[in-house]
Amino acid sequence: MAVHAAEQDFEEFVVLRSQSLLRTAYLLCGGDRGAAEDLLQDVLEKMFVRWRRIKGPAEPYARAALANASANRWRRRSRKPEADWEQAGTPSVGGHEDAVVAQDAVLRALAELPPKMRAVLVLRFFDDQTEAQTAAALGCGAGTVKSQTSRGLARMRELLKVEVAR
Amino acid sequence: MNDLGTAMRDVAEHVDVRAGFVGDVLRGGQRRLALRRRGLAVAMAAVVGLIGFGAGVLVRVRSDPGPLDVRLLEPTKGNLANDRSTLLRATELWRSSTAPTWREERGVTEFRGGPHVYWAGVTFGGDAAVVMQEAKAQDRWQTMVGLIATDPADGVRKLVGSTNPRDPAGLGESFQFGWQDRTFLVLDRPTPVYLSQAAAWDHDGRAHRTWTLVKMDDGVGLWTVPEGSDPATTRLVATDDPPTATVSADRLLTTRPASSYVRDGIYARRTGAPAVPAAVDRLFSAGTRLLVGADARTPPIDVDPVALLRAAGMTDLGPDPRAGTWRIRGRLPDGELVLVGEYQQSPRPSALYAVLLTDRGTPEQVLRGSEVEPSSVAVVRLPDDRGWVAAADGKQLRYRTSTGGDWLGSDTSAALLPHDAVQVQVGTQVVDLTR
Repeated sequence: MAVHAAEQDFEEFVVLRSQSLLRTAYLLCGGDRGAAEDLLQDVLEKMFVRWRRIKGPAEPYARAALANASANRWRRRSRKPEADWEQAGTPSVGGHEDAVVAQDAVLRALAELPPKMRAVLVLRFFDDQTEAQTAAALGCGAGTVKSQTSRGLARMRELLKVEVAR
Repeated sequence: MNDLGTAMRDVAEHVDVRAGFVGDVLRGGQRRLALRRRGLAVAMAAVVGLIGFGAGVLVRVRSDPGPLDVRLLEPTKGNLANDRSTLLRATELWRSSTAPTWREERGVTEFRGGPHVYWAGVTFGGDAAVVMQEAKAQDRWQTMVGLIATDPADGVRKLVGSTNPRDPAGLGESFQFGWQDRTFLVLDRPTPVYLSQAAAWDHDGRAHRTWTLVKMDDGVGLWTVPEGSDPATTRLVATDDPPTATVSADRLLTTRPASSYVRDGIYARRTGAPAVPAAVDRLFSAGTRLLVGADARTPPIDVDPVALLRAAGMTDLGPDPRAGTWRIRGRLPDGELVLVGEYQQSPRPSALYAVLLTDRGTPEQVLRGSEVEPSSVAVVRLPDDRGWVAAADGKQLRYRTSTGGDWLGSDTSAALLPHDAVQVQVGTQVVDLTR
């Protein structure tokens, strides 16, 4: 009966939080939609196996797992992600060409960053996590998060050739 | 910082999970869990094997082949497949409904994996979802299928129907729900499904049906019976070829109306549902035995009237007609025997049947007589000018062979009349014998 309830609890978590988590995964994958779904599914399936052993809120756990898995994923492949530029960053917002171009540029810039640096920026600015929370999620020190953030923003600014306010 | 966060949110705003994602995650998780357990079991077996080798210990590792039914691995179908709240609600209702009583009724001893929403969509009968899950029933793994929909009786969303391995007619994966139980849903299957809305009855009391192929769309076939028609007469059959008049009853996909519990069963008894009037034994009280004709040595006749009616094509596909328990028997002038009784094929009113038998008691012919009206006389005309059998409980019966002629005979309750009789008198009532 406990297994039954745990499974139900997990299913509810997946139903309610998948959309939000997929958006994080999408950014972590530099706009590769397919890779983001694969990444999230992989993380959630692993969470299913250890669901009853996860202490504390599940969502931060999932976000940390996504960030780590995305970094490891590219490390395993030994190459940088190749986002599908024809599809990525072209949301259907007809009539807002400037916005589309800007969004496309953000994704291109994110995809250019090293995976761990990208994970730091996504956790800090998309998921609104503090430096300490980001450090805990990625298993590194707060100083590393601070320096990665600084260098990441600089790199983004350079890539976007626009001012990104600090 | 805020600008970057806003830019990221704008970029990701359009991203949403695909249909079936939740189900894929759950199945993937279950697969991983099974593999992990299998790995542990293999490791344990290896350890125990090493330890127990000398003592002849044999360890058998259970294999876990995963779902047998590929439908459990398919993404959710239907136009509500992306509606996560619908899917979540459906699986919640399935879990809460598949309680011990439900499992006991179906002989289910164990579930494997989680419930899977096979289909979810908007229908004429309201939003509905088909949920399935692997279960062990009668010592084998099989897929239990149920329909989550709004109960037409109380307007509450619930499990309104589910398959039942213990019921030979309960495996059809076909359901009936919605307003007045008018909507039919059948799951797609390898064999085509045909539907017939109602039987047509010919003058001799034989049933005929015309059939329409049910169009399967996105995993299910849906059909709503139009107003003015009785959904109780609708039949579904699964057969490779278009059904003929002799379509076998084992091809029938039985549907139980979602609200039928209101009319019969424990719930109906508890809530004091009005008693359903007796469908048969309306002309005479149950078990009445009457003899007609001059030959008082007419032997008892032992036949199964329902089987004879079915063989004669005088029953509809589906539930058997109900046969009354009163009987009239007699010997005709040519030596043949006749048996008359009452039967009712829903939704038609009860009527007389007559069986003609050889003098040795072998059934030869089955006939339908007039509809039963307890306040009047019921008659059945025998073929080949062999006369009529007339019946009216406790009443004196007389006949005449021309209008205005003398009344002849005097029998009580039942009579064998000659073929040239044109009217029968029941008390003060005179009834024309129409040919």
